[in-house]
Amino acid sequence: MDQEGIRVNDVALEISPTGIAALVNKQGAEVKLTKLDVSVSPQALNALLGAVAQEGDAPPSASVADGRLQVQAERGGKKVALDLQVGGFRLEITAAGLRIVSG
Amino acid sequence: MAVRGLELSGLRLTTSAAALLEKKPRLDIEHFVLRLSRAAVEALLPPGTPVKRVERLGGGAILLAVETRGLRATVEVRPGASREGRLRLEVVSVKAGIFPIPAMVWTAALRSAVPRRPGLLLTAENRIEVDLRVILRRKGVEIAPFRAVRVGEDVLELVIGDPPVRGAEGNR
Repeated sequence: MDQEGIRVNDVALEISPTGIAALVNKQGAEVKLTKLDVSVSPQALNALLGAVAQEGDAPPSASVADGRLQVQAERGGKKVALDLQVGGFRLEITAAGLRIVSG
Repeated sequence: MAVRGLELSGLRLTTSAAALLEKKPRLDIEHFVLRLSRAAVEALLPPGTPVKRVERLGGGAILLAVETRGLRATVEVRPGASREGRLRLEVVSVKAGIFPIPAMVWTAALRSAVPRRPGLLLTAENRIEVDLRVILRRKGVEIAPFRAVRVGEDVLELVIGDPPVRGAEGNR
């Protein structure tokens, strides 16, 4: 992958005929996503985190290792560090709502 | 397999975060397969085009209802991918009702109707060729060439670029 990039490895989606008409007429969108596989490089992750930094604060920084994501941020002079040693996440979409499970 | 509307699959692309943050996304599209129903192709026709309806998709051809300067005709187009990776549209026949219009008549009309724009060509064989790479490059998008264009029963399938080599996914 491009060292500074975001890579879409696989996406599949569907748009109904009414959804296409809405898109073409700029009256909205109606998309059904059926497959998603996206990779974000550490450089890209840091660039995106930089965009959410508040004025005056240092932008958050992230480092990624196998199974580990570390994020450091500073807000109003207070430092926050998050060390996720979970290997990965699984997002489950159920009738009861969303569930994020580590590991 | 029948398609309802638009189906996009196998999309592979890259972009840089820096480009996204600049709100000038530069995309490099490597592959996708786009399948469109007759209704979807019709919905995507640009406004002001003389093509009023897509009558039929099937048998490798698209049947279009065209109206220009008060004249109505049915145009049969065979799409394909050129060797250079362009979308090729070959006009096979033009009919007014049940009467075929001689090729020399519609050829002249075609020559005056196809606008001169970058990425749009009319070949000596009266084939319209669309070079998406030229059109999209101006918008910051690099796109792989057309590899295949197929027309089945009520479905138009466009293949851009090559699918990933099996087993290579984990190596990226």
